[in-house]
Amino acid sequence: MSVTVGIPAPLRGYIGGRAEVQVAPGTVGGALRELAAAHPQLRRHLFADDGGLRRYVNVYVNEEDVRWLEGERTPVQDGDTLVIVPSIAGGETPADLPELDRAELARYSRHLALPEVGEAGQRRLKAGRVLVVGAGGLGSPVGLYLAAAGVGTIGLVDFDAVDVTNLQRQVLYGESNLGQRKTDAAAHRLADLNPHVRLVRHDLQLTRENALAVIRDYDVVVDGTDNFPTRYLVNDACVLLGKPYVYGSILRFEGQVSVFDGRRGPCYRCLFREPPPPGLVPSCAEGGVLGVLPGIVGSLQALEAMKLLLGQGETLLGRLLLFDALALSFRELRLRKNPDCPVCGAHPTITELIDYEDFCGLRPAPAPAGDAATERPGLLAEAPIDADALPPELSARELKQLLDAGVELDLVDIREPYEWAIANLEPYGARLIPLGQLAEHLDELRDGRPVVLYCHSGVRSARALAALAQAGLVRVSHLRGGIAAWTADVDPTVPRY
Amino acid sequence: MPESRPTGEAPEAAGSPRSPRSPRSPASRRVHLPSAALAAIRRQAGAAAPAECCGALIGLLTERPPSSSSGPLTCEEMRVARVRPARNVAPSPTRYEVAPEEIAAAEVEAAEIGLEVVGYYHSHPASPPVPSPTDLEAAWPWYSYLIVDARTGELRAWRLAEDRSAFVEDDLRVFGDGGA
Repeated sequence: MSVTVGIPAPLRGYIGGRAEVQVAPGTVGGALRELAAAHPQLRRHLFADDGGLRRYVNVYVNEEDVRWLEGERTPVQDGDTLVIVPSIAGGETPADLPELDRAELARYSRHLALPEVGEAGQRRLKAGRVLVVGAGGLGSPVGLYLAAAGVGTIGLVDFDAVDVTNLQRQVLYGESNLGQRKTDAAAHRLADLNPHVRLVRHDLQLTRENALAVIRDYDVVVDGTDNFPTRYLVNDACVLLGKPYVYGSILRFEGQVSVFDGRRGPCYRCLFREPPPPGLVPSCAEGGVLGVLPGIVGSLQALEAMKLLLGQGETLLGRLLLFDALALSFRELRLRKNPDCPVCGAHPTITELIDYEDFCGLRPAPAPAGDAATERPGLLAEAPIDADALPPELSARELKQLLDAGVELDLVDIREPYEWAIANLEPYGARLIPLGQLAEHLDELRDGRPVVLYCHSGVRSARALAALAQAGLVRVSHLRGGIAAWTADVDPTVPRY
Repeated sequence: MPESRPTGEAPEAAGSPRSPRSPRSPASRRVHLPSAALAAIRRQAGAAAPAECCGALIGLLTERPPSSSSGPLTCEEMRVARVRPARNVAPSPTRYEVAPEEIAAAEVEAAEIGLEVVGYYHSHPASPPVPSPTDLEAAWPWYSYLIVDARTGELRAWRLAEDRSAFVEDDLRVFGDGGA
């Protein structure tokens, strides 16, 4: 017995035309070095000058990519099959990218000093074309940083005029711009910042009719809008055209950033197949947003757009970054491509743009899950605990005991829908009423079963508890430590975030 | 015209059968491309511009014995039967990377008709069809690399020199009706 190594066609000439050879067990690195020792001409095609595997050499052990195992240190045993698969790549030479003139060389000197950017990278930025959809809170830092960095073509999509309520966060604009078209005011400001940048104004609302024509001319699309129809429209158009989509969203004190690209990873629909029911997620106008938050999230979007143009670094493709400004914390969720995604999956059902207003407006709200608790078998036994005497605060274990004892509770998740999407207590009968909508449910909460509120860490639910108590609810409690405590103390299968 | 790389080696193979997979660069290689494949590559390049496009070449590599016209060294004949467009998954507008699953799919498609993947093509949206340093860095031996200039449609064929120092141009011949 030994390890079988599958040799790709371009390398077979070095081993007498054979498609496979046998080597001794050990590690992937050891096996390939043994191979190179026996056939010295293979070495330069497999190993880089520093002795490591060339990045264009993919190795699979028993059909698993070793990059997801232990790389070169992945063990190979008798009977294992190791296959070398060539990665086919390349690209246009930087010599064909636009030249930098003397003024540009001076302007971008701090970029040129970075080996990861350098002159070639700066020329890539100059050749790059980025479409910024929405010249508002997110679009402001995106436009400013991309223009300052020397991205050659920046398209701005907006149909709005500058309003005084914008100035709290939309740093592209000032008092003198009030009433002006945003595309005009933004282009004026960015041209002043960097006259080497070509600015394209799209003074329109993206629709299914014009989106493909507008987006087609760009390399990267950055979404700075705050409504679901546009988000799905931009996502679908990017998937259909094969463009990377830099996603950002903000509300109150929290933000999200990711990079979607249906060709190489998940798209927005892989994450959120359908929009939440209308009205469930408040807009920034309704829910509010802290002024500096779009500055942070938009700057991250600009960063990702630049990395995409440069081809440098690890982008957020396949990762959703969650930012909490109050806690000052960043969290990260791994995203997976949905093979059944209706737009980027193997068998897409969406092959052209649809009516996104319709798609986002006519979806029925999901049925409340609150009754599930009463339907669970075994939990309908008599309740030895007086539900009217609930303490205002329950630990995760106490709550679990109550549920196990069959106490009928209205377990209300007051977080935002995206948080619900990440992790929830629906299996325990929870239902979602985002904090902003609790007031509308007061009567129903007052007349129903005893209420237990929960949020992520117990801060928001404590605040909501106080508000409900003030509104006259007596049979109400909250989960101390939130869903995070539930994961820690009761059910480790509930995802942390 | 093919640029043959001087090998400075004795023509040991003359008169003896030699595998077309010989690691030694042949004196020359002719790449035969059906005109329909050429048209398909040009169409794909035009549609993908300003991004790069890419795909696999499915065919067969054979060897012509030394002859009076080619001298003592062999000449390889690479016959492309069909091209197979692939998704470009590179994150940058000036790069290409064939989706890994498409490499496997191309191999399967080739094997089903008794052929093999003999190379790959890609487009240069804004420059001549000459390999770039990035192309060189990523290249594999033996494969034929076709590059098309998306602006002009000009197509040229290249193969990696044995020492990885450069590309050698192959003699690209288009055949069939409506050829270039």
